[in-house]
Amino acid sequence: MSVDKNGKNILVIVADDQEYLREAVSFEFEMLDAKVMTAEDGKEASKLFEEHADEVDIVVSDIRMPICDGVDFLRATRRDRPLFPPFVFMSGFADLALWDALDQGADAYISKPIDVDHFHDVVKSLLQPMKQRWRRKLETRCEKKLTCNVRGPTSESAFELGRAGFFIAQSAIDSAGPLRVNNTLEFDLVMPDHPLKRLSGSGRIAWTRSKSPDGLINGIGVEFLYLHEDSHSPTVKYITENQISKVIPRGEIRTR
Amino acid sequence: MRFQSSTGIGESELRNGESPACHIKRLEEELREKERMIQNSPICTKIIDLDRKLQFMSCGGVDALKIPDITQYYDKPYPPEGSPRYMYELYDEHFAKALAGETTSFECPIPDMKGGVESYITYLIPIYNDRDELDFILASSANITQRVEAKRDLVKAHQTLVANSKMAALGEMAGGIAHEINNPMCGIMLRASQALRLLEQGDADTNKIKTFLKDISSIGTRVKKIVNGLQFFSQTGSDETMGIENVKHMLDETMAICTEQFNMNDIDIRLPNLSSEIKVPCCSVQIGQVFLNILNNALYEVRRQNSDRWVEISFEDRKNTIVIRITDSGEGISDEVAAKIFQPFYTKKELGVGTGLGLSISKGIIERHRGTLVLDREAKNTSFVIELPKVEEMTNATTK
Repeated sequence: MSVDKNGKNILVIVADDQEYLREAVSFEFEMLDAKVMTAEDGKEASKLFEEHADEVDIVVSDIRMPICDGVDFLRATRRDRPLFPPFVFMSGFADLALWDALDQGADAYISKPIDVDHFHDVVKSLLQPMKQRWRRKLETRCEKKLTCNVRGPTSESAFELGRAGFFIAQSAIDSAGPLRVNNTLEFDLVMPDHPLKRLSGSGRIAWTRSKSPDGLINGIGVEFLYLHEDSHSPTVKYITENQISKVIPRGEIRTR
Repeated sequence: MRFQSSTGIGESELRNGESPACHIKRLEEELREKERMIQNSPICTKIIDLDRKLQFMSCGGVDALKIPDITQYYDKPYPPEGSPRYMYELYDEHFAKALAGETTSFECPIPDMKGGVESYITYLIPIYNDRDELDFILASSANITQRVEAKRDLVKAHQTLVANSKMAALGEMAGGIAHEINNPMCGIMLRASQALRLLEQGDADTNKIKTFLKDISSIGTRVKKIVNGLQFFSQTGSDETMGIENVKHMLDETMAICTEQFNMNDIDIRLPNLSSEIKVPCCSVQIGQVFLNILNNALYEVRRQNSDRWVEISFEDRKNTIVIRITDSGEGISDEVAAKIFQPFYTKKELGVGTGLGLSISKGIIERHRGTLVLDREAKNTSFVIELPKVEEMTNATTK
């Protein structure tokens, strides 16, 4: 299998402080005929990205690295380019909350040791242009169904759209039953106060939060798997126009 | 103090107006009263003659030892036949002292006739007659089982506390340990899967596959190193025996656990160049625990600094001792904190991070090794100094 863009090989940055991991992860891309550049810390990776920003198709980075870590590297990447290229975190330890990683613009968070099949699924999906993503209906029925009307004065914090999913507050969810991470979810959100007005499709619950040490409001983060044809182009258009860098927003801090 | 046979037996003089018959009756009553006191007391009182033959045992003793017929033991050597060997030995030693006029005592478990065993303290008191001649030996044994058990519980509780605090100290390094295991695991699994996929493709490049397999085996040794460190620290109390231990080994095992946590926090670790020849008599896990506790504190302090973060371990070989100094880039410790730093339950860390026991337990460990652990108040940075006696000094060292 080879992945290319217009006949050219894709270009990847792999950042990890361990040489054996840089090489092993690079080889996964080399098997896809990709061209790989490697960096051993966030500073070197940021420099590499700056030099090749227009050519890089995807970035894979460890979180914990000396000098300048993966989070710093992500920030540097997203500063001028909120939407592209896709950025994948790898980590051997829960050193960053998933909602924070996705909120700061990481497209995926893969835990070490890496499951090779999952890794390739994620990479393949992220290499698709946004317009082509979320087009195919799921073959199986979703485990949960979420239909709600997000309106009123709380609507701003109750719902927030990211560029590959959304956050919805627990207070806006009334009848979905217990929701767990990785549940597939069919959603139909009516949002009279939001420019999109309506968002329907199906997704996967990326994270749930019922007690936050940081005072963040409770809710769930949903990753898009499919967007209904009426929702697809307005959503992609809205994300592009507003240059939304958050992949799935983490939700706001409780004000009261 | 000397005890006379007659000591404590009431007024033996004839009182005014008292008839001789009344006098005898009164003396008999007084004697019975004293006897009742002795007989009813839970103290086991024995009279042993100078030939070490039992002449009397109080009811309290007979009951406690569950002896069906005490008279069959009278005028026979004490301890009776069938007693444990250590009892004969203890009596041999202490009876001789008592015969020499010394009041003496010893503690030992004493079995009763029904198979139970309780701990007793026994006093042997030489008793003299009116002519100042040694008359008999009074042996009094009191049951101290509860006290012995309480003491044993206390020792056990202390050991548990030390072991728990060791686990807590390891817990503070858990992030680094997980990272240090997951990274190599990730490399091994990727390389194995890649080699497999290359083979499945058919046109396998054997050189590449060879390289991957070599990678797997060399990455595996990284996991082994940290697992060795964990094994070193998870030795249980019973294994914590004294030995002549290699200082470099103890430091290496500790660093296997800690290094990643320091790397992740961008802290420069400076280690001494130690020869494997340097050895001290110690319990290596406990000394490792002391290193770990001090390094944990250093990590906690230094990672809050913005720049120039470092921890330095230095070593000095003195004539009779070795000195290990752990210094961090912290700005030192205020007098107020320094005064409390070795006290149990004193911590500056947030709830759930520190137990407040690390330094107090460390100090206890080093002092049990007849060494010292001090905070160097003269140093510019925060500096803890461990001093331990060398091999030649303590060849007969025993544990605890």
